[in-house]
Amino acid sequence: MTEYKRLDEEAWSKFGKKLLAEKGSEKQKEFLQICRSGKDDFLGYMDEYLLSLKDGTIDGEYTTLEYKFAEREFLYPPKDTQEFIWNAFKNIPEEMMYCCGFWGYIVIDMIKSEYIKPDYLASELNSVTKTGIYVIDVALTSNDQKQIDHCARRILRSMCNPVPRGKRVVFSDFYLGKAYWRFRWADKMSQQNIGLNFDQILEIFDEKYYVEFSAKMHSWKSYIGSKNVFGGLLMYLNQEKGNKIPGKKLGKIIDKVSYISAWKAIEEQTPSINQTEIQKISEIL
Amino acid sequence: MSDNLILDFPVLRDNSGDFVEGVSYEVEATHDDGKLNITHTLKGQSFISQLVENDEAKFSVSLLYRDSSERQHHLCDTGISTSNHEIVGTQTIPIKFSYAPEIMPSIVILTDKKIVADASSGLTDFWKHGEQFNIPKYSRVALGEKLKFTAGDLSKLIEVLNDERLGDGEMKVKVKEDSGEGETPVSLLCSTDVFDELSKVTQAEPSTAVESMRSAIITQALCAVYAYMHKLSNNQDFEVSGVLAAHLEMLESKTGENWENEDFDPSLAATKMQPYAIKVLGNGVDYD
Repeated sequence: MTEYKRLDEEAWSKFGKKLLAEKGSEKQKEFLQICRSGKDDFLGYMDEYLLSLKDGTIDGEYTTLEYKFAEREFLYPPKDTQEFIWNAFKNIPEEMMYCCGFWGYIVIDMIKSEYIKPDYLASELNSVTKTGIYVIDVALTSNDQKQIDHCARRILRSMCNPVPRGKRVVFSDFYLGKAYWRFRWADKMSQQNIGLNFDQILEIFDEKYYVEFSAKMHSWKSYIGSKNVFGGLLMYLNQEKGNKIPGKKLGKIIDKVSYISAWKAIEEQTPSINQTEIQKISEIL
Repeated sequence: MSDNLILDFPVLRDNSGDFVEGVSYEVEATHDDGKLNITHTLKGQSFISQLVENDEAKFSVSLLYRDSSERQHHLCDTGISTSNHEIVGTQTIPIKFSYAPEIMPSIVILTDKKIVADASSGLTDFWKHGEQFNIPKYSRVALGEKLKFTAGDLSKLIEVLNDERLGDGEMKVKVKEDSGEGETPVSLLCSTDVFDELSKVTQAEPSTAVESMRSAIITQALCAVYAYMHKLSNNQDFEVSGVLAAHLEMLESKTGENWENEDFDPSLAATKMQPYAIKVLGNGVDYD
């Protein structure tokens, strides 16, 4: 496999662990202040505590994401931006794309190239006011250890650091990774014999359903990572699209399918048989 | 997946009570050169062995690649050999990524089947002779133990954390014996100087005094974990995390020590598991 320039997974993890070792510590306050201060201070900090370390990075082919984001767009990339992210990385081996170190390096590099600002990493722009700068300022002036820790954790998640949430951060919390994996799964499943094309699958995979899918799939307890099972589920959801089922019910269906997999090899069944089975499950829930 | 299913047909698995002694299903796996080599062994005469011999049931593995959550499934279509009430099936499967997946083996029935319990069914008295039961297509009639390659490694067992409140050279060990899937059961809280030293620990055996000192820190932590588990296992029934269970297996196979034994010596076990002594100078030189 081609190596790509990236952060060493262990060094990246240690960086996060040191930062989160104590809630509201001086180290956390310093990090928040650095993110607020702008590109130069941020890059200097990352260089000192990570990039310049002997085993801080892994050398390889350089790749980046050449796209200048607005703050809200970084958090909630619309479909055309998601497509840009997918096109930028779709030819890179899949194994690289779930490395937190790969994405972490991309984020630092984007800050270096001024495609994003370091304060975007703290943003909670689901309301109008909670810009990254605002969130950092509130945390720093609050003197509340939990709030400072919460802000440091958010920044780490936005950089695809695995410590706050484990490796699943790539699929569930990290904005660029979420966009990429939504398209990756649509690409994979459109090549299965389920009668659905790429765009149809993307339509099923809207923000609400994707969150449910990725949370269940990366809990490792679910069985939807099997293409025949996932295919059946997508066929069922496509059939029901006029009568959209609630996300919570989708979660229950996935749980029930996983339960059945304990005694039945549903992964051996064709997607259309699984569709029928899922239909029956849905009717009794 | 649940381990406590109640089904209206018998399933061969550990402690299920459905099958007589001598009927068993075991799976072994190794990996090399980017391939998984899997060997299924079904022992004893039973209705399952008859189904496998008639190609009405097959050995199967479901693979989970944890990093991407992708699952693959493979039926064992070749490499079946039968001798003296023992059926062996072998599979060679290319590994998709650079790490080995988790393996969930089973025997899957390929058609709806009605079975009548008789002397050759291999069933215990729980199933009366002449009793009929239906097994739906694709049911798993035997379940093997989940196989993982790295479950008991120290990296899965211990999470090293920096605690700046601790004084130089101090550390604390916390064991969460019932930690869930994906959690690390042991937290090793260290002062910054200890944390920095531990970040330099390598897999290789120590060859200098400094490397020996770093290794000894891990030995001490293991000793505390083993002492805790020994005390716990002697006093009460408790749920143990999968990682700790896997580590106990590894400990026993590597050192012959088991924390469930009454005369277990945590210090000795930890020293055997994580040696910190430097090998004698001149090791490897032939003096004869």
